[in-house]
Amino acid sequence: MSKLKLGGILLLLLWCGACSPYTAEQTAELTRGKEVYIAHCLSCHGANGKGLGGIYPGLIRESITPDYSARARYLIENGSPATGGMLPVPITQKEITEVINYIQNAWGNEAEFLSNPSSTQISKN
Amino acid sequence: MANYLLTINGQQTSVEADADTPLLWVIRDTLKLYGTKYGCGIAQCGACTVHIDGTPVRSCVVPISRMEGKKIITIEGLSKTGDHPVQEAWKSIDVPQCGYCQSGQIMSAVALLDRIPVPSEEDIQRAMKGNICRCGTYPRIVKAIQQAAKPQDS
Repeated sequence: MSKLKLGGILLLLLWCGACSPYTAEQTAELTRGKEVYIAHCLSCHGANGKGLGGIYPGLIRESITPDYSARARYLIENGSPATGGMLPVPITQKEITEVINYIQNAWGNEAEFLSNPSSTQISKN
Repeated sequence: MANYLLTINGQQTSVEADADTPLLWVIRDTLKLYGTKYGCGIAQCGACTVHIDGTPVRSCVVPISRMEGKKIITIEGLSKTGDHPVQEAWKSIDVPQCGYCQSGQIMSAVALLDRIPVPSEEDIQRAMKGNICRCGTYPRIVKAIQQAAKPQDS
């Protein structure tokens, strides 16, 4: 490959990196969150977050509110009381944060990244 | 009942079923592909994992009506002779104990290696957490995935 082509590719990569709305840390967080999503959420909520109509709800919202984040954490930790509803998901607090960050920034969703709750916050829940 | 045209393991097949019949029922009872197992029936154990368009999905909760146009791969579709690199690693490490969860484990592992060819142990733990093994073969599962992930020339 010529040096010119290689240089062009490098420039393109740098340009693409500059376009990304996420920091390297946030990108890594989204990758981790996506893995958690695939392992625990995708079967019901779908690869595209649209859910399965009439059975499992979609996860895409025009705007992500703090209520949405709190409800997501609550449902993951406790499940839904509805008959046949979501069951608690046996994952760590860190993984819960990762997957919520992924859900809230995938498929057109946009939200601030959450940080892990402190141990004090966890003990209050 | 309606007819659904499915693509399973590269072959097109038409099945008659109610719209809300779980894919797992069709795979096992209609198509007689018994490698995919019924575990919990509520997407909590991973025994029924198959690939839908390359992604690991619990087939016990997915209605057949959503499967038209999708590419479904079951454990039988990984390799005709059972020699997919992940299956070879499984045999080499002697992973299974009772074996019931293993086809789901292997399907999740194959999908993981498609996404992350050389995963870290943390990557493996994160991706495989949805597949439960009552015999506790987890350390061997991790080892087998690491072996399958090794480049062939190393």
